[in-house]
Amino acid sequence: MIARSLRNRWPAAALVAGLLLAGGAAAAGYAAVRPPNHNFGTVPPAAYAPVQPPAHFAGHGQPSRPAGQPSRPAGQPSDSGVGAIVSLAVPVRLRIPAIGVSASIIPVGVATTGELGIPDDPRVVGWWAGGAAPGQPTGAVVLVGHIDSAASGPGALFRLAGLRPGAVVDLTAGGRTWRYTVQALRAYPKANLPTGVVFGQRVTPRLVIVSCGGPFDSTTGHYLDNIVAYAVPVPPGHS
Amino acid sequence: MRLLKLAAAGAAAGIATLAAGSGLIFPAAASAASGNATVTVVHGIPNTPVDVYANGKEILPGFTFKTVTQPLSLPAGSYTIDVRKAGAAATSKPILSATEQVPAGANLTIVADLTASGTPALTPFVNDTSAVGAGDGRLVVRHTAEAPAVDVYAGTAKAISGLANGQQQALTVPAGTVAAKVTLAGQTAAVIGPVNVPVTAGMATVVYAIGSASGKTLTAVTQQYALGGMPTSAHAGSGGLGADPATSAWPFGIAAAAGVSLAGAGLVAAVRRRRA
Repeated sequence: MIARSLRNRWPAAALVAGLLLAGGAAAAGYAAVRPPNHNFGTVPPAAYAPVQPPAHFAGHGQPSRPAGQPSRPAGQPSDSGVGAIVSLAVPVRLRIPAIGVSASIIPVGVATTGELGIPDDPRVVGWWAGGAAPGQPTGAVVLVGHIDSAASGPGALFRLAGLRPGAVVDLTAGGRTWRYTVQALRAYPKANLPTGVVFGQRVTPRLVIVSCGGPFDSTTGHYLDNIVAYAVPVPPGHS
Repeated sequence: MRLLKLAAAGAAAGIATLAAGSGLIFPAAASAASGNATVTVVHGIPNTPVDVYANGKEILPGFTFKTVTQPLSLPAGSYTIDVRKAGAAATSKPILSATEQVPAGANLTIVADLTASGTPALTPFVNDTSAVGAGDGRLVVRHTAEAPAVDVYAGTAKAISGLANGQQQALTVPAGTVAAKVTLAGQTAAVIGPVNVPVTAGMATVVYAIGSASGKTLTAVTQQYALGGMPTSAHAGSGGLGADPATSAWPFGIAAAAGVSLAGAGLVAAVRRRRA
């Protein structure tokens, strides 16, 4: 009875198994061409971290400041003390041992189109000189580097998409080394680049490294994605 | 355009007040966000090492001819700048003094320089941070030397004519290197250069003519600062060597599994290199 039942059902079982196998093969085939995941870790919160007033200052009839708002209005100096005059540490070299990067850095700016300039030499990395410098109390240090160029092959950040949270990034600036730890990697379609997150300066200190990646459009000569790595400073003495 | 020229040396020295016109201020993104301003200081007076004070505190000790500071970030506010001979007591009479209102987001350069007649002065310039087209940079020439009016050549072409002491002129040029030469107006012999001046996309490169023609100390120093506001895009690749396989290309996709794709990229790179 049992044996007969199995025998009768065998073709159906084989068919199911075959379909499963075929499905599995199809899935495997799809997996081979699915774009690789470029999203890892947690992007540091974009909001400027306000200095919270001591608790005993609360309750004087003032409306409480919404979370994420700056502690003082933009453009208001905190003080005029000359003790706050700081020589900016202009970055001159980027090292990321995990992906074999050691590149010189030159300052770059922004065009009327909003496009961030990039060094002509793809081996050289750009530092957005309109953004923060290492060591400033707020703001994002923004670097931009080629993944490659049609004229001269792989660029300084060819392997940026291989970077993972925890990797160490060293910036040489102002005669010392500023160490950062990678927190997150993101791939953004260029058409939907969250510019406030990537370039915004009203943030706690961070390093943002921008390159290209994803699919390549050979008609425009552009990649379709920006690959962006986010890192946070390692306090001196903790490196 | 000279904005303001102040405070002569010696007996004529006095405290003058500079009010930077707010309409001329172009905020830099980071400094505006932090409420700070950016100030760069240039030393263009030959044979005169100085100490520079801001609001009574020494900020640039032993500051020497031909030095350009890194950008200084400072809170918006009123600053009295005193310049004393290097090593002079902090209470001694300054060689030069000026008081300047520095608004949030301002980008200024202060040049300790010589007038056309050779008198030391403090000359402030507002740095124009307005953007230029993609792939271009701005080349600015500032005449802050004891010298007559000059012409400036970019390569063999005359780019600026008759620039006088205290004046500046800006050009928009493609990123690259400009071989700049300065001659006395109407002449062809270089009094400065030619010097190779780097022009970077989205950046201003400022060339200062400094020193003294009569003292044969004419030379040039440069400063760079960023143009434009917040970026909205970045294009950082044109080769396609690091591209992800495309999902739409199913039949090719299987063949383009990692190893093959990498090998192909290597081959393309090799071919491109041979062509280069």
